Amino acid sequence: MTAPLLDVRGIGVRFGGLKALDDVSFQVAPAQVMGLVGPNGSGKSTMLNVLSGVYVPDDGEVAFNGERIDGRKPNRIAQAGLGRTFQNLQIFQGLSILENVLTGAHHRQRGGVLPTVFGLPGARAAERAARDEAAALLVRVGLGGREDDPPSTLSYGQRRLLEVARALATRPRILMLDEPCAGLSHGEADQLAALVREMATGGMSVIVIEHNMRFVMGLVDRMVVLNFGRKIAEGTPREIRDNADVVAAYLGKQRHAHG
Amino acid sequence: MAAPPSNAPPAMRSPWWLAAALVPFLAAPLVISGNYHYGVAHQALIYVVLATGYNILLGFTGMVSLGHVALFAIGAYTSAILQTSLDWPFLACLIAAAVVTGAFGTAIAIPALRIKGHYLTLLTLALGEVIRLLIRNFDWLTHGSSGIGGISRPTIFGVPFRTAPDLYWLLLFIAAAGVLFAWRLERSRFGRAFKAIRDSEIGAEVIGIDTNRMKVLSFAISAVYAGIAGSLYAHTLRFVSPEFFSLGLTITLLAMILIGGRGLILGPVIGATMLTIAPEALRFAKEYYLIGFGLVIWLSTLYLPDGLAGSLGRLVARLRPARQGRAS
Ligand SMILES: Nc1ncnc2c1ncn2[C@@H]1O[C@H](COP(=O)(O)OP(=O)(O)O)[C@@H](O)[C@H]1O
Ligand SMILES: [Mg+2]
Repeated sequence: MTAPLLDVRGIGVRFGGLKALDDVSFQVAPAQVMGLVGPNGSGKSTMLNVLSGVYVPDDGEVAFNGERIDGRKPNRIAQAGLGRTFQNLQIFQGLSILENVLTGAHHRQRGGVLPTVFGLPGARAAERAARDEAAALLVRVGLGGREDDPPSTLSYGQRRLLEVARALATRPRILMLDEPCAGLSHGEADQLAALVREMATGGMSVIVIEHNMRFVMGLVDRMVVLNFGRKIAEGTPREIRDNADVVAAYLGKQRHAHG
Repeated sequence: MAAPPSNAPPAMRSPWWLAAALVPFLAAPLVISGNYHYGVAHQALIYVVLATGYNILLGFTGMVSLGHVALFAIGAYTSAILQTSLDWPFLACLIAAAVVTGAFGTAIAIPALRIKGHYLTLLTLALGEVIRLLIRNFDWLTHGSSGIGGISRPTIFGVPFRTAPDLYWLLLFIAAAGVLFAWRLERSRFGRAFKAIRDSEIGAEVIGIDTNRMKVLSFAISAVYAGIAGSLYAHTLRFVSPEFFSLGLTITLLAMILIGGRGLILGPVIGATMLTIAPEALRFAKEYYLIGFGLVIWLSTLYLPDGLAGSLGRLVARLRPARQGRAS
């Protein structure tokens, strides 16, 4: 394996008496698509919150590109190159669709308040470049032509795609998606899978949390399976499919869901 | 305070709205005359500046500070003291008021970063009252409750703005510049970052926005507006006293934003103008005015969630469906 881009070592997170994560370790290589799966409440979103700096872990450490990032503020982690979306959407309702994507470019844009407000050439060129890039990202996620509309005019699934575009606007080296397919039609999900593949081909790593096994199995290079906050398996989709523990965890859960 | 995200109807975003809003102010001198009418018009323009700055903090960034009137007072006193004791020219007083108030605003913002929501509101309310008490008690500097009089009207590079109409044009120029600045700011990466924080602070953080820095910036910019408005107030009324910067004014300022439309550029312009003129026009109603005022605030929060400016924008959008219509 090449040097890992992301090295997660022995992460533990407790909420009161509940161990949401317990000694979880895994690595992500450059350009790798990693699936993070497991039944509801197994700690997947908690892990994403640790990786993006929203939570500070109680145990363990996270190294990105050889540097420790756990405990850093979320905006510093984003600037370092980790982008994410949310399971429960965090769209900026008061901004237009294009402006939502543009916020992802904020930390790269230079120039203080006065040069920006007075429209000095440098600031103006930076704004134009950011707008072009944001518009292109909207086209890539299939929201071209909707730039000036408010996000409230989008369907639930389209709002997820808007969050993906916004995360991509930060130019991440690792893109982390929390249940991106929830609310997407089959067509939209396939389109998203194609986009993720394309990103990985371009050298970006992707961590996908997903419930939809059909989507994950066909998409990811490797997967980590969590159950009750512990890693119970790791491997290629084929290896995971044949893993008895995983089958038990999933079938148990599914029986609950149906019963 | 639950913030209904103010979503400017697309029609409101056109620069033509700014130009249209300027027309009644340009035409006003045709119909008003006499010092009394001009006095009301002067105050309306000063409140447009103050409310436009407050809207950057409250409407864009979503931070409910109730200490804003104290910043207005600091601007007024800075200008009044520098002019009456040191004989500084108007423009120097104005710039000093902007700088000093901006520095105070930044100083208030830093402790405010640690707290959120209602606690922030309470802290700023307390800070505002402390500043008012300090003004009243620093007799040697502020003349305590008797206030500072004898401030002169503006003169810029030898050009006097002493007569009521001349002063009106100067105030209109500054107010228009202030509104234009806010309009440009709203469309910049800073305006987007402010609204992002208002709509989802965590969403703003994970896309790389330094939310603390942006909050301090928002406080500082709105404080500079308050300092400029305070200075204009001192040189227009020619008298400042602590009683004027009361809790009542804080409520009026809040109402200007809520009735006009928070988070919309024209909201504070409409709100400040209406709430300055209305009490004068309805003076005959005396104490009934306050009841009516309360009712209007109550009704507008119920029926005009994004204020008069927002309703106006939506009305126009509805009248022009062809330009808005887009299949979704
Ligand atoms: N902020 C929190 N406070 C308390 N408990 C939490 C919090 N976030 C998550 N949990 C709990 O931690 C466990 C893991 O949650 P989560 O990471 O959201 O699971 P998943 O995303 O895999 O469905 C659940 O039992 C959940 O109730
Ligand atoms: Mg989850």
